[in-house]
Amino acid sequence: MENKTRILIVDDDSIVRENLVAFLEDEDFLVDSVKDAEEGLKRIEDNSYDIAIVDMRLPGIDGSQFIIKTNEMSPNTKFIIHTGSTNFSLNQKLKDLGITKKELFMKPIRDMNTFVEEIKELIND
Amino acid sequence: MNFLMDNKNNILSSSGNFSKGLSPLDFVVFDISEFNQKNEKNYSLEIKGKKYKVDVKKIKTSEELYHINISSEQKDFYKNIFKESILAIATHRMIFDEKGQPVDYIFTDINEEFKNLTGLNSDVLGKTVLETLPETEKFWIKKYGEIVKTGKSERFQNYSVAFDKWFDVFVFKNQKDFFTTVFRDITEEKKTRDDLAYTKDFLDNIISSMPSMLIGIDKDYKINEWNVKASEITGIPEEKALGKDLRDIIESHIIQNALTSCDKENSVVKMDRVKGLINGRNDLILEVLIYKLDENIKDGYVLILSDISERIHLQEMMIQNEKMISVGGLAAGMAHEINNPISGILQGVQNIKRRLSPDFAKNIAAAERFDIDLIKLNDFLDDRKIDLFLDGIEESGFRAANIISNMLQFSGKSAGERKQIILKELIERVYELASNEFDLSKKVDFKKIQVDMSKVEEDIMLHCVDTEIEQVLLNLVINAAHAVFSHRKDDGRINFITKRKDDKIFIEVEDNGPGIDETLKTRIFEPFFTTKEAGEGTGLGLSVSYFIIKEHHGGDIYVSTGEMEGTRFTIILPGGRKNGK
Repeated sequence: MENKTRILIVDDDSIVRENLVAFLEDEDFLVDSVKDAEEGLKRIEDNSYDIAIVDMRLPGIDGSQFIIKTNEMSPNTKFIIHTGSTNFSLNQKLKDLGITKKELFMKPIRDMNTFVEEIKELIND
Repeated sequence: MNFLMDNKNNILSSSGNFSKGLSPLDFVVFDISEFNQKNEKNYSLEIKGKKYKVDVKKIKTSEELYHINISSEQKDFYKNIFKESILAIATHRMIFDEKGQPVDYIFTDINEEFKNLTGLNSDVLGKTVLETLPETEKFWIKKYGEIVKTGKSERFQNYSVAFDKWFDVFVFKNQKDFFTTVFRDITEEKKTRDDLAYTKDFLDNIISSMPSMLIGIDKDYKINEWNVKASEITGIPEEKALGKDLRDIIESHIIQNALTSCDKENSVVKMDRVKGLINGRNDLILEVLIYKLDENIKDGYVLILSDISERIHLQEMMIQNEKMISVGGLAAGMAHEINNPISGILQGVQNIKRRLSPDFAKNIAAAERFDIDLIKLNDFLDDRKIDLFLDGIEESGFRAANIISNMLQFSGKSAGERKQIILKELIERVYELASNEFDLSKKVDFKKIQVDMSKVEEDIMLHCVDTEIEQVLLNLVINAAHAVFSHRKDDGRINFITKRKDDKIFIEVEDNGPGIDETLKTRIFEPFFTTKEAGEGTGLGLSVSYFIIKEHHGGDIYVSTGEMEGTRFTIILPGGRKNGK
């Protein structure tokens, strides 16, 4: 079980968060979740994650900043953006980190299997 | 008085007035031979204490017949008239060349007014006009020459360079080669008249060039002023309108009420946004201004009708746009807030369904721990219709998500990417999609509708988010098909028309359905506004189209009545380029 993919979910909406955790755990991923970026950064300090699924609109440090900081601390962590912001578009800094539209998940995601597929793709990259 | 007399003092005939007791017999006392001997033309006689001039002229030598002309004070009277006339009078003798053409004329007599008027004096007598006034135009000489030749007197007005004046001239022939001119200076008069004519022309011009209809009527509604715009809008030319009763041309009760209040309040009556005023032009929205004329000058009214349809249209578009932007902002904001809860619903349902599944390994393991038979549990869920309710939650969630995803397009930006596409291909794709869509729907049979794409230009390129424009056109076609089908089952028609004008691309979708009620035209783009039965449509299609065209593409979309009397949607998009250019 050492090879299990580790995922960190950062989302301030607890229901969205818990649902995603449940679904991904059912898929045998190791999933942690936090409600804001500050807590998320602490987790990054102490653990290594393969993937972070990040909401953009967060209290305090926003999702974008979180990704940039996480990347500095843990360059191997890959990101999936999960946002409900209608007018969100990738900024240059995020693009520079290799994040593409493919990793942009707009809420509501009707089928969480799309997360699973994307995670597997990112891991196999 | 004139009389003919023979050499024996017999009066043969006479004419003229024998005034003041003077009779031809009085003359007989004078022997004719006496006049004859002196061989002079003029004699002066005194009869009964009065002086007379006597002209004697031998008419027929053989018979010694004399024509005697006696003139008395009367001659002086005429002389005085000549002298003191307030009109300039001159007598002249015409000079003809060998060919008989008039070439010049001599001044033989001039009166005082002539001197005043021309600044010439008696020095001119005996001189010719070209000697005196070399700049005299040929016109004068030619004209006088004709009069002398024909003997027909004439009155005319003409300008003289020599005097820099306009003259009103009366010319008559006196005797062979001699003629008299009577004239006056009309320079001022003519200037006043010209000024007046100019003023009138100017006013006429102002009235006829007015961008509004200007109509003048008298107390009895008879039209006495009808400008170019009035003809243009009503189609009634001025000559037919003048004298006509205004109430035959425009809606009488509106105008009657207006005139009554115009009379009562003695002020200008203004009516804004008047519809259906002019018979046969219900499309016009007019601003009406009515005022009473000064009774002392002319009794009547003036009506100024300005076509403000375009202005109202623009205003409505602006109001509409602002309304849509605020509604759109609200909707987009709402959409954002609703996305999270919908995520919760949809993902929650997905988790519940999976975690109840009897095939899922983790469920089986957990069920064993709690000693639960998963198959039985599923039978239970089925029996209690919990599956059904979960499906219901999921479906409702999807529906809400659909509405929200439509509302998301109300935001200013488009998520899609712009591409250069060939408009005709896009329209063909829309047609394809529409036909398929209707294959599934029983209500509307797309195959029965005649779709005309002959007016879709081949070579229009469009830089756009193609999926969005596709969505807009598909929406319009579906709406059109519904409209057409609700109205007529057999001869439904939908026309696609594209054209390029300047830098703009026009796409029109036109149907022969029932059309859109005038009062609804301003509302159809509102989010959630629908005329369809509840459940048949969300009322978001046109609002989404509106935002896609206006906000995402910087274009314009509006509805009008098309050529087929149904509905026509016009989309205007910026940036037309020819294929391959």
